[in-house]
Formats: sequence, structure tokens, C-alpha cells
Amino acid sequence: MSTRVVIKKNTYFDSVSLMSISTKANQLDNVEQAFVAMATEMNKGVLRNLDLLTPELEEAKNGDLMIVIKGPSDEANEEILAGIEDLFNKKNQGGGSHEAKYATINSAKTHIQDSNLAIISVNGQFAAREARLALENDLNVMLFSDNVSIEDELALKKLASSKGLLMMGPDCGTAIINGTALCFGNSVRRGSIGIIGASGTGSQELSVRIHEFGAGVSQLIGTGGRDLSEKIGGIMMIDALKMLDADEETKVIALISKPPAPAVAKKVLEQAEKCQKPVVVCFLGSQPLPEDKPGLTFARSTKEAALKTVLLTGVKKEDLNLHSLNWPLIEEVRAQLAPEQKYIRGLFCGGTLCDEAMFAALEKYDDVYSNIQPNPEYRLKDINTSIAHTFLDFGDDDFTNGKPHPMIDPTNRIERLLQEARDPEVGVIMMDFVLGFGSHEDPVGVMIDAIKAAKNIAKEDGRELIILGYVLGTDQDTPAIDAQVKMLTDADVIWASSSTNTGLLGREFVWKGEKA
Amino acid sequence: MNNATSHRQTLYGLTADIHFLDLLNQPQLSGKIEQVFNKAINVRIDNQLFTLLGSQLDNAPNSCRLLNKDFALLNINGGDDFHISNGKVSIGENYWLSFSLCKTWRQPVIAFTYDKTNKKNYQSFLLKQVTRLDLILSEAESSLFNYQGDNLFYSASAEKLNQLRSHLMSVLQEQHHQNLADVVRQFVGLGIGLTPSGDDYLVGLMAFLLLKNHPVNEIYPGFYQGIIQGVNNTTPISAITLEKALVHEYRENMCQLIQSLVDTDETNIHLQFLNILNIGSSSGSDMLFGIRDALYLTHYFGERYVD
Repeated sequence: MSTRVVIKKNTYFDSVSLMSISTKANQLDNVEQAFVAMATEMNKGVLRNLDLLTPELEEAKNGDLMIVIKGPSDEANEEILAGIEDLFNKKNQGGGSHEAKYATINSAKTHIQDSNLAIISVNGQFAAREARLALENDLNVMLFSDNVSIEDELALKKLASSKGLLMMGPDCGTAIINGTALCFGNSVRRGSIGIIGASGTGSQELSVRIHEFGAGVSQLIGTGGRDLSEKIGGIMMIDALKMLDADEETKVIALISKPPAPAVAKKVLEQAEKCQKPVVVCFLGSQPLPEDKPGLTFARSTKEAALKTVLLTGVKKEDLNLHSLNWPLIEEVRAQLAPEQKYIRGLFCGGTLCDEAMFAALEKYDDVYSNIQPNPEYRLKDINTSIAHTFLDFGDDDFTNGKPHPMIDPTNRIERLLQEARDPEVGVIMMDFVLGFGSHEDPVGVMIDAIKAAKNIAKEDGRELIILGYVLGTDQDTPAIDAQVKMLTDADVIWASSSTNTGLLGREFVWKGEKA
Repeated sequence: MNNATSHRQTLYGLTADIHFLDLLNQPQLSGKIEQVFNKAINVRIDNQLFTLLGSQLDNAPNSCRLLNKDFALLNINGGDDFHISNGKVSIGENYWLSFSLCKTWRQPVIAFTYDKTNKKNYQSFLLKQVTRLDLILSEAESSLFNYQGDNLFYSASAEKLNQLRSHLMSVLQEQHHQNLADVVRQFVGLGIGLTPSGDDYLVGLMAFLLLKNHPVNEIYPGFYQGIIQGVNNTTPISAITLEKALVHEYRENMCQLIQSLVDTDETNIHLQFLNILNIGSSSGSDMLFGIRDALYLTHYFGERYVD
């Protein structure tokens, strides 16, 4: 009988892993006894009592790992040791399946030949090159990076289209492919609705509302915000329409975007009409809303789009809570606001959430300013100073230059919230909080002290400041949406149930005319 | 959406305890990354251990929770430099650590109400929790206390652990406090993994028994001496946890549970027990054995003087 001892310096494993490795080691051929444990003094004491303490073990330190093998011979012990080392390696690699790091896309594709999607998030000046490499390796691409030229985007999308691949992006932050959310996305049930979105938070909002209305998402394909521009011509939205039309799992298709260039809208709608499956189209801010056609339904808002989509899957309208506007609440808020508190200030993380609230306000007011206003006359010249009704997209390049996205870093929004609270003409401040993969782990929590401070600023000034909060997320998201909403309502924030309702409630709260 | 400000990626701290934040007040400090786990990174600075934790974990002494969930995805390795200079923290060649989002986590001060133990309703509350814990722990197969396998070394370790546990209970019940330090010392470092079961058991026991105003906290010197004598016999990480326990510093989940036990608040207590149970691989169950015995002893002493 022979004993083999190995000491691994400064090596740590948890007890369950060590027990599991020991159990497996004892099942190896020829092993009489094998165990692994930390070489603490007390453990060495136990070994001493078992007459197993060797001088080598005696020398081991508290932070070392000891492997002790009793086998029939030195040779057999070496084999057993190799088996144990193998078990450690498997443990380090997560028990068989593991994440590997590759220096290049070519190398990754060589090692994982059945891979079919690359997510690219590198500095903009290198992004197009990496995306091209991925496409050349027959990989679908999700390109998170921005600062890619429109010429590069066009070339990449043409290449992808010619190969039947997806080229999602550049600046594509949201997708759900085969049930897996990529970059920013929410946990929604799988189902029969395919979403194609040229706007990230618009797609998230649509998926979340669909989930709330009881249906599910088959695929969510992002195209990047410029796909429906004149120059790109909707290449990816048109290709994605064809793909989802051919996808067995998808029964209904929903499109969401800001208003496309008219010629591109025409091309996209022509393709939608050709689809065998019903298509619901939500081009936010489009005025007037086009008339429905067979198989083609138009929606003014994300909520309306979600509703029309789920009804097409067979969900019954009478089974749904549609969260119609709470008019008694609106009247109550109007009574709390002083006559001079006539403006809304929207402080948004999500670009499309900002858009939707802004478009709702534009239906009722003229003096609506923003850093993303489509009308250049009302685009803010100085983003640091609000004018009349102001809607700010903090995720826009104006604010993120050199800083993380506001879904991750709330600093900009906190400062602006306190600034707006000091303005006596402000009646309502709207804010969104985005849950889900990629977002801040506690989006309400990091803002709540600032919200309380903002309300106090107004109170000390003798005003009631209304804060209207919307939490974009599902009951499956982390952190729990109920707890996030409760944190808001406990701080006297009015909770809106959807992006659409946020815009409608906000504009009604500050309305000073006759009853709408 | 991506705006790189330098070649280094910024990692964001979410919450940190005062000991960790105190580091930022030093004009210059250098340390080394000691170990990198999936959810925790240990850093040695001036012979003290500090920990970076994944956001899904609760707060803990000497720690900072980061926005990240999985450190295996980062390019941080044992031996990398951890450098603090005028409030800026760099890790290795690839990362900055930003505290712009970071809030302070303050350890709550929990104290026992002195005359609580001899109240009838508190006695029955304690008994109920002991029964609840016995049920939970009867299924804690990962704990060395419950080891039933045939591995010679693990069986001997489990036997020793359970013998010590019985011995400690009788020393405390019979108030033979002169033997206490020696028994406590023997627990330290006894167990298989990163934080040996004996250490975790002591942490759970002390978390409740050594509370300020607890009727038996006169035993504190015995625990203090035993741990100080034994602390060099265990793993460095576990030694830190034991030393923190001596000054009543525990992780956030433990604080919440102890507060509920002091307040006779059953609202979330089952979930809080499970939160402890899920710490580490077997550490949580070993700690719960300690808490269970602390509750049992509190009930034992209270029953003798029940009002």
C-alpha cells in the first residue's frame, strides 16, 4: 500500500466541491482512500489521529489545499492523482461546459464551429471591421457599438442580406433570440409574437406589454435606429419581416419604430402586406395614423400595438386589465398644482419612452422641447436648460459622451431632477426606470433619495411637485417589479402602468384648460 | 451607446461598508488581488483582506458590492495590483473602480432586551425557531455536521466536530467557563473547505449569543481568547470572518435575521433562515447550526427564570 500526498499552495475550494471531488476520486479504480481538504492545523490534527499525517502534510499551511491518496502502488497513485487533477480542472471550468475567451472572431469560430451569432461591443472605429469578419464567418451579428459610419452600416447590411444573415445594429441594444435576451432586455414568456424594432426601449416596452397581456414573444429582432433612414432603406427590417414570416413559431408580427423616411415606410409596409401572417405596425409619432389594410393593422402607441397584437393571437379583450386612465386621480392632481405649475419635465433613460411621452404632449401642446425633437425649431439648443415642456433622453449621445448609459449610471439624471425641482413653473416630472438584463440592479433604489429630496425642495418652496414614475419590467424580471413600484409609491410618486399611460397622464396633470 | 474614455473599463461599486470606504481616504495604498472567484474577489491590502462582491450578494464587512454579477468574465487575476491614489482605484492593467454610484452600507447596531429571555412568549418563540431550524438542518446534507459518507477523513472530522459541539454545549449549560476558550479554540479551522465548518458554526453561535445585553454574554472573554488562540490555525479568509464576529460585524443577511430574532418578528424569518442556509456551499448550514444552538441556549437559560 502506498500513500501519495500533494500540497497545492494558496488554493481554495468550497467544502461541497471538495467533498464531491473526493467522492468521485474514491470511485476511481484502485483507490483505497482519497480525500482533499484545506490544510488547517485542526485538519492536520484529525489526520494525526488517523495516523495519516506525513512530514509533507505537516509542512502545509492553512491556505494550502492537501490531496491525500492511499492506493496499491506509486504508479497507481500517479494515475489516481491525474484523475483527481482532471476533476479539479472540470470544476474550474464549471463542470464541463465553460466560457472560453478567444482573441479574434476567426479563432472563436474555428473552435466553436456551430456558433451562429456574434455580439460585438467594441470601440466604434473598430466595430465595422469586426462585424464584417463575423458576417464573413457566417455569423449573425448584433452590433451594440455606435459611432459606426452610415456607409459602413449600409455595406454591412447589404453583405448580411446577401448571405441571409441578421445584421442587428449598429447601436442595437435590445434583442431576444430563441428566448435569450441580449444586451438590454426583459424576461418575457416565450410565445408566438415576433417583434422587429428599430428602437431599443420601444421594443422592450412592446415585449413587456405583450407579456403583461398574457401572450409571449417568439423572437425580438433589433435593427438599429438608422435602419429606416433613406440611406439604409430598411434593409434589415425587410429581411427580418421575411424571416419571421417563414418562422414556424411566429404567428403574429409587430413592428416598432420612430417614423421612418416616407419612401422607406412605403417599402417596409409593402413587404408587411406581402406577409402570410398578420402584422401590427407602430411608427410612433406618425400623424395621421394610416388606415388598416387586410393583414396590416396600425397602432398609435406601444400599448395599443401590444393590445392589437395579442388580440390577434386569440387573447380575449375582456380578460385583460387595460389600465384605462384614472380620471379621478387626474382631477386630484390638477387641484394640487398651482396655476403657474404648467410644465412637464420628462427625464428619461429610454429614448423611445421619451419619444412616446413627448408625442403624447405634442398632441395637446405646441411648446414641447427636447434634445430629440424631430422639429429642429423645438430642439433644445442648450441641453442644460429646460424650456416650457421639456423631454430629455439621457441615453442620447448629448448626455452619454464619455459617460455610461443612464440605465447604468444615474448621476446625470439625479442632478437634473434636483435642478427641475427648483423651477416654480414645473408641475410634473416624469421618470422611467428600466429593469431587466443589462440594466441597473436597483434603478429605483439609486434614485429614491434624490426623488425625496426633489419633493422636499418644492415643499419648502410651498409647492406640490408631482413625480410620475414608470417602471419598465415584467413580473419575471430582477429586481422584483412590485418592490420597485412600492419604493416609488412609498415616496409619494405616482405610478404609471405603461409608457403610453405615462405620456397621457403627464399631459393631463398639467392641463389648465377646460376638461379634456 | 458605448463611449470608451480610456483603455481601462470602469467597474461600478454599488454599496460598501465603512472599512472599505475608509481605504479611499488614504492618499496612496497598494495591494494585491489574492483570489478571484465567480462572485467574489479578495484583495490583500496592508495585511488585511477586503472583498469585492457580485451585486447579487448581500453586504458584508470589509466589502464592496459591484454592479457585476460574474467576475469570471473579467480579466482580473490573482497577483494583479490593486492601487488607490487620491480616491481613484485601479485594478491590474484593465480596470478602474468607480464609486460614483456607491452608497455606504452601515452595519446596524443590534442589542438584546435584557429581561426578554424570561418572558413566556419569547420562550415559546425561541422554541418554535429551534424546531424550525432542526427541520431545515435535518435536510442540510452538505454540512459536515450531517456527514454520513464513508470517507475516513471526513467521517473523523465530522465526529470530532459533533463531539466538540456537544462538549461546548455542556460547558455553556453547566457554566464551566474556565474550559470555554480551549473548546472554542479547537473548533477553529476544523472543516474541509475555504471557511471550515467549525469556524462557520462559531460565527453563527456568536452572532446571537454575544449580542449586547444578552444574559450570557459574560462568556465573551472565553470566545475571545479561544478565537485569538486559534485564528492562525485556519484559512486567512475564515480568520477575517471570525475576527469580525468578535466585534459584532456580520454580513447583511445575518444582521437581518438576528434583528428578527431579537424583535420576535416572524414575518420574514423563514426566508431569512433560508438566506443564511444558501451562503456559500456549506457555510450557511454550518452557521445555522450555530444559530440553532444559540437559540437553544437562550431558551435553556431563560426557562430557569421564566416569568
